[in-house]
Amino acid sequence: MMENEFKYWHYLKEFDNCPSTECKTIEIQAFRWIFDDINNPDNFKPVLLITPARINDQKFDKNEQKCCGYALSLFNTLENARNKFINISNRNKCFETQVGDNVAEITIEEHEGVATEPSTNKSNLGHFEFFEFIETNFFDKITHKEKIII
Amino acid sequence: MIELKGTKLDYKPLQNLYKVGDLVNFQGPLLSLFSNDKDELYLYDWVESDTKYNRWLIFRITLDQLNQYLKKQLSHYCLIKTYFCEVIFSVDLDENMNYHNIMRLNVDEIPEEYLPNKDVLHDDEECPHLDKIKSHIINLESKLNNLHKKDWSVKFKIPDNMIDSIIIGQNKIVKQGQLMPI
Repeated sequence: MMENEFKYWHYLKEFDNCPSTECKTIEIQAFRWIFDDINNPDNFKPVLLITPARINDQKFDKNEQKCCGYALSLFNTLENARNKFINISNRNKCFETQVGDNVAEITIEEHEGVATEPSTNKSNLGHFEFFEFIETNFFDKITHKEKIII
Repeated sequence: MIELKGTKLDYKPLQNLYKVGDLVNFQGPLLSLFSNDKDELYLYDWVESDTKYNRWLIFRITLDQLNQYLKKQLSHYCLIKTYFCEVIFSVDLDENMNYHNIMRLNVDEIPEEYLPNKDVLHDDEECPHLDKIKSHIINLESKLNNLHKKDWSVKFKIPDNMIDSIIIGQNKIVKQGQLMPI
């Protein structure tokens, strides 16, 4: 893979080892929270490009954290996507104002980007970051969408 | 955004707070611990956003409350409801961290939608800055302990070099030497 194949290379190049060399191309079904309006431009935007950013301090303390801010946040199963959404919404009932309250299923193919390993942490099970290549467009690849019922 | 009942303020409250760390973070902070040079503790609790702002509740907590929360003896809900001060602030932060729509709320003016479920407890896995937060707590406890010592030293005219021989615990003083009440 060439570095400049990444959609957000302009940002990624500012950080060391970003995306990490441990990221791999994958071919799986993945799940992402989206808004009810399937064309909402924030549906497939990395968190650091969504405005206004949810921050309360100017500093980011980890290079890795900022690097992943230019990746898409995804889950490896519908259940994991749903559980994490419910977990956050129990604490922050208006969380849907940030990420929507639907979950979309998309098919990721090898030529579309590289992914981190899915998390094995209980509180964040199956969550992974996906760094898109330039041509990737997940708006056209939603195979299923459903509202998350809490 | 939900329209809040409360008193609108035209000044930024709680100047000079600095961030200790996030107690909950998922792609950005959701609950953060702040402090100031008086060693007071405050929480920034994210509650809602729209296309312009993120809304945070800001309220003071005690060291004891923080410790209980981290030990899962106190819920997130109780941190808000068993407030230390009588006021909670609501602020809308824009992209550049400018403060807007600053409100002072009583606890009963907080909308239901802004309150967590009653059973939500701390989770170490959701807390990326646990070490930093614990070290801040240790630092505060050590300062408090020294203050206690100073307090007793003044009250009972105990020389500085003897104060360490006094063991303070459970509201009792066990002395090794002569106490001289004023």
